[in-house]
Amino acid sequence: MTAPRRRGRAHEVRAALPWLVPTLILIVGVVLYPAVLMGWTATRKYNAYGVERGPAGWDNFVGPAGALTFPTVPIPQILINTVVWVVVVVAITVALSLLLAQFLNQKFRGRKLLRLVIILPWASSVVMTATVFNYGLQTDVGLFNRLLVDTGILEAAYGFTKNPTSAFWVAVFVAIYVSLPFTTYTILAGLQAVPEDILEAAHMDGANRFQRYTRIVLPMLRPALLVATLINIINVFNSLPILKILNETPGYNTGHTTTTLIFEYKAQLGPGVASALSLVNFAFCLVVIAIYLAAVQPTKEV
Amino acid sequence: MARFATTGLAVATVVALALTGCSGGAAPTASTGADGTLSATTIKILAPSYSESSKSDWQKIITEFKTKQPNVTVELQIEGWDDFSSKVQARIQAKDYPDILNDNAFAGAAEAGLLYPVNEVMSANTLASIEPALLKNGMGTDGKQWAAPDIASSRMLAYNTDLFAQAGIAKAPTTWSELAADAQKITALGGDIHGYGLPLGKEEAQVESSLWLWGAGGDWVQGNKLVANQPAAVEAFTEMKKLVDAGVTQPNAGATNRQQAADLFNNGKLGMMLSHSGLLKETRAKFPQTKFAVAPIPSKNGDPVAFGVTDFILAFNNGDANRKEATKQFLDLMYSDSMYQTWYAGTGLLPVTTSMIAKGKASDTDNAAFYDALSYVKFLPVGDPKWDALQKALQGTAGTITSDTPENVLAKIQAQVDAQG
Amino acid sequence: MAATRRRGGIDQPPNPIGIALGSLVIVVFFAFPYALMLISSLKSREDIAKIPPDYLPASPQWDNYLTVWASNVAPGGALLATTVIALGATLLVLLVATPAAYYIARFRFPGRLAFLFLVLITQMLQPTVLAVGLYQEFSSWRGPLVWVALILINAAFNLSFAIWIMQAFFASVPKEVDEAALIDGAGRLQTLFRISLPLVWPGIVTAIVFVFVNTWNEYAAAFILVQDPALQPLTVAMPRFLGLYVRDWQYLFTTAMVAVVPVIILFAFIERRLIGGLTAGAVK
Repeated sequence: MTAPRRRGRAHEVRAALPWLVPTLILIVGVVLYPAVLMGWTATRKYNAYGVERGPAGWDNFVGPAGALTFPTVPIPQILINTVVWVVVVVAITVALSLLLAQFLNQKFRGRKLLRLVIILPWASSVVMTATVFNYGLQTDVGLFNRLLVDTGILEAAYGFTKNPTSAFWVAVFVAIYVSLPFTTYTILAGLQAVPEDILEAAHMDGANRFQRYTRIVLPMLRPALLVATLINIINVFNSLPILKILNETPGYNTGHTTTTLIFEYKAQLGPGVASALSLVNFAFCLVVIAIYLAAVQPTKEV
Repeated sequence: MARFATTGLAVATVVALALTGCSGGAAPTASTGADGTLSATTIKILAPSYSESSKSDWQKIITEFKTKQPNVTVELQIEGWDDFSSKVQARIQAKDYPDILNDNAFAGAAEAGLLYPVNEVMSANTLASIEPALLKNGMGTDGKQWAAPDIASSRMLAYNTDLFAQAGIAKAPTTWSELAADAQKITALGGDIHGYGLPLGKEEAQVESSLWLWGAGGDWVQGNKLVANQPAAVEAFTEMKKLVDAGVTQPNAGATNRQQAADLFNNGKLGMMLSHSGLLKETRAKFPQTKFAVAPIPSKNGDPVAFGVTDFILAFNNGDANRKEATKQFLDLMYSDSMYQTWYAGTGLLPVTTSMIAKGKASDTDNAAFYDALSYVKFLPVGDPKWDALQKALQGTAGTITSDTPENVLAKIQAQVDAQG
Repeated sequence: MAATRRRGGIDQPPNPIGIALGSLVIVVFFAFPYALMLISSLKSREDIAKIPPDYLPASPQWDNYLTVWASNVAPGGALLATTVIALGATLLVLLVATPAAYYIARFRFPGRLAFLFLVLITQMLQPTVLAVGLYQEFSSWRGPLVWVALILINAAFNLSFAIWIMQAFFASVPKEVDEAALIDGAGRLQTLFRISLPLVWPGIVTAIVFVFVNTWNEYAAAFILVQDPALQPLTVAMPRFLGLYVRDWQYLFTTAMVAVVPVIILFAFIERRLIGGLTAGAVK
């Protein structure tokens, strides 16, 4: 660690390259290149069938049928939804995962099996989990609905997926549900790194369980927790299938986020407008991330 | 379960190897044979899955075609209906045009100049074999035949005869007021039974609302424009909303797809719905306890309305004479009686060739009413490139009449259409 | 005070009733949708659309688990495709991400932050958003080559997580451990593989599971890229059970149940390795 510091900057970069080049190739070739293509697409005019019709200027963003100006689309509501969606899903996911991880970190018989059980929503794809919730929540053929009625919780079967507000909150539930395994697992892995002897020492010094958790465990979990939260924010922000499958209400209703709106646009207005909204969406995501990073300042640790 | 998985893997490996072997054989250099065989080329087919047998139905034609043109490789891609249009969109955008596309729209591709007129890729005989009334549906607003229908279906009112008897209704309704009254009586039977199935969800809102519009004596086409916000449409939407507000439709009408209404119907929970031969074939096969009959669709004044849909064969211009010729020979083969009969039967829908229609009328008593309706059906304006915008707006927004006024809903639909120029 | 301390004591065995109750809640919460999936997979096509639905199938159709393989969708091939792609992508990510994560955890160099930021951006751009561009880039990769395309895509889009999580774990290993090895004459790579990797095993396992499962479940890229039905992975093949009129929900759920099994097996296996790696780490 001391030697490289004395050498020149160019040399440092050259030393780093062999370790980083495979990553750079993959990122540039498979992520950035199609992203640039998408930027180009946003400036071109298309019909809904996907046929290109020349340059579009800013029409795909703010034209008569632009991403932000298409009539009857409740844009402010959808922006609010997006923020609510990300904040609620991520916050509850992280809180529940901390609890779950703590529970599963205890030594008891069957914990291994229990760890396998919590992985279920992850092992079964998001698409399938959302599909089975959709199926169970149907008013007619849905067993969850029947169960709710039979237990007296509901008076009559309710179309959870058939109106935007309830569909949105059902989707929030399912989004938390499918995010739990990954988050719990990451925190669990982080918990393994907390040395038993430090906890023991704190215990000897008279720290109670809560103190030990907040003063020792949480700080040591910080790197894993930060990464898990960050990844969750991004994944939840970009999540398409959950809302798409669970919100059966057609059209530009109030149950959308900016990500699902992209796909509504893609179907109705074609790839140009969809790409334009993708770019706006990306900028929006950057803002959310920037706020998060400013709040937690992870670079201090890194 | 693990054992089954292994079996599946073994099967899959064999399939994968077989397919790899066959697509690897096509080299782009062969020459035309003297016996009429084409030099090596590949044609691509993109088609939706109508039923379980769709893939094998196409495969039969391909196998037969291969015996005639051994050098031509046929790439078949079958996709589910749910995301079919986005699949088509992706291919078109990447300029990876299928030679043969089986779809329910053609105007957008025709307007963009991507297609061969079908008379260039089908022999005169083949074109002549298609029922003229149906063939006309594949004509663009420019008067050119851009698509050939491959299957047809018509819509009729299907009603549960047991429920009608229980409610003391003697015959199927012919007018809107009779329909509303009958729906009321059936709903009054109680037990989670609904009078009328109104699927205004994304899948088929354009069909349901068009039928009510036609029932009011209106038409989307006004002069040479498509107009959503018009008095007849307001009347039609008001009538639908009346049923919803009276509580005689299934719950959540604005978010119900036709399949979900059909599930209710199959289980004897629905008095009436607008249905087609494909859905009723399933009812007959799997729900024999549900007794039903079909009747013409009621309208405001009692004149029967019938709705026709055809799906189409589109041939994309890939600028390759060899592929074009192979496409032509393939399509001619496909529409030949022996091939076409099994192919269309697999879809569960009605045929489009005159010979098969005649044969179907004679033998397919289950669908007799649907065959009869083919003579007076009305089609959606699918040949108009603007129809796409109106259809999408209807699909997305018509369902909101459950919570909004008909005037507002139609104004929104019009605004979306207008915004797209 | 003493009493409190004892109750909260570290070596005190956890409260068995609390454990039992907690376990029960967790099992119910995490298993109920899959119970529905299992029940539905055993129903006949008539039962699956029955109104009102039965809690249990009238007679369990175990046959579904046999007949599904011969159905039009042929999910066996899809299972193979998914397995190949998921394994390929996981392997590729490990190969590419490990050296990068190790290096950025160990060294400050010009452009390090820029690199980390680039990696983060990658995570923000997902296949769902880039669908159009990905198709334009990879549409000519036909036949089995399409699996290679999907391996590249899944690897690229999961790379960022692997790098971030692994570098966090590498950073937590004291540098002195590495330096001791270097002084002993081991090369950088050797140090990485012999010394650091075993110590960050939990992080690597997390990365493996993450990449594998994400790839196993990936939908958007596979949907737009794989034209040949025989090469489609499970996520894309399964919706084909839902035809225009015939909606074979029971087969959809049958296949979904089968698809869960390999992931659970992988997980059970890796969990054991994880515990092993941990004890090794604890000994130091």
